[in-house]
Amino acid sequence: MTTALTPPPELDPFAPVSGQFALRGSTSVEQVTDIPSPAGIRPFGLRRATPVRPGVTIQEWTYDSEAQKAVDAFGVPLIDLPHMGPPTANTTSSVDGEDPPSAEDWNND
Amino acid sequence: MTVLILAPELDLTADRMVKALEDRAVPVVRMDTAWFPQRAGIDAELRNGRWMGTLSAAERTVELEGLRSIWYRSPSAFGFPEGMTATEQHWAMTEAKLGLGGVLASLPVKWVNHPARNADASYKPVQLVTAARCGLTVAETLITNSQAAVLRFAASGQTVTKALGAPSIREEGGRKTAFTQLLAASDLSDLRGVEVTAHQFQRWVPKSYEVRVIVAGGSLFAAAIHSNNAETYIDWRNDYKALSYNRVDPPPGVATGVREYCRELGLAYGAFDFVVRPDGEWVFLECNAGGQYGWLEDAAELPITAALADLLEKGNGA
Repeated sequence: MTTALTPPPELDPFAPVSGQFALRGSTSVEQVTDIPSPAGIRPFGLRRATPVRPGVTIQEWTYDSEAQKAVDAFGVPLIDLPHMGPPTANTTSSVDGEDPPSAEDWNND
Repeated sequence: MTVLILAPELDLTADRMVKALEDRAVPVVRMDTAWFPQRAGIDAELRNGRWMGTLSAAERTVELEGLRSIWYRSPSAFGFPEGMTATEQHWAMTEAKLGLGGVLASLPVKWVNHPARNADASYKPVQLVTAARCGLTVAETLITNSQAAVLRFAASGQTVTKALGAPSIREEGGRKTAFTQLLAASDLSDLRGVEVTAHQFQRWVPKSYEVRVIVAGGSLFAAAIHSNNAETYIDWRNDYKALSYNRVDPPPGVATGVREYCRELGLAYGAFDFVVRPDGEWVFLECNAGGQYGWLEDAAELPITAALADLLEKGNGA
């Protein structure tokens, strides 16, 4: 007798991304030290991947759970600071499925 | 009745929404799913066919039946106590996703957008056929892992390659991006790597400028994006400092099409990208159901936060 095993969600190529309720990020360890594979192994779409330009660096902030906003060292919401500019970064690239790096704002376009 | 915002801690667009809702005296609770289970909790019982109980987030607790709407702003992955093995974390992640995520996903509230709808709408091939069905002009597109197919497609005209998903990776100690690129002769003579996964190739669309259209419930906003150098002419995400913006009105057919698109895919919100050809025709490129709008709100004076706040405030009455 054989038993049909249900494959884990990550092995089901047609599972909707909604299987990942928290779409951004995962508990897997990122291999930021990876080096590009040789041509033929590396996906063509990554052939011309280039290091990002310097982005907008968000100043020192903490999350104020009372205000429910990011605030500066004096407790002033960042959105109320005159030099903050628009609330979306001027750098981009992340769509659903990525952790944000801690020191840059990489919110997607 | 409370609005629940699911967003990362650093999300200035969400900060603005908190302020907008506070200004309207609408109760709002903000939570990042990364807080679960250490700084957030769920206590839900199935009663009479729906989940009743509480969701606690930082110092706030909200009754599930007291929610009117949920704004889903790409919250972060669940965060588990240190010491768990990778296997234990993986198991705990799945349980949290199906437990907390499942309870929230089942609530009869207004979602902007429901994460399952976002997920379904994230597939670019689905986007393109949906857009075409809704009367929008779409670019000729090839999805393949065949070098021969790329050569065949590229023989008919200028071609770009663009990622189907996130154009960003971390590698060699830093972050890299792989934005839209025109295929050069050197690319076509060496297509190694096409065969290792699916790739998207698209006919280059001559452009006067690009437009981001934001649909927020019944409201529609559009900003023209003008590129001022060669790189941003190919993909405006290459350099935001080289862009300028102004508010525009989409042609009636485009406005009708994007609204129909949202109806088809069950989206309350969508960020659509178009190329406007020199002859004035608008060509659909993609729709990011979780796309950003904050920088355009200021640059092109588009009151998008207010429109979304209307939507969240009205809940299912919207």
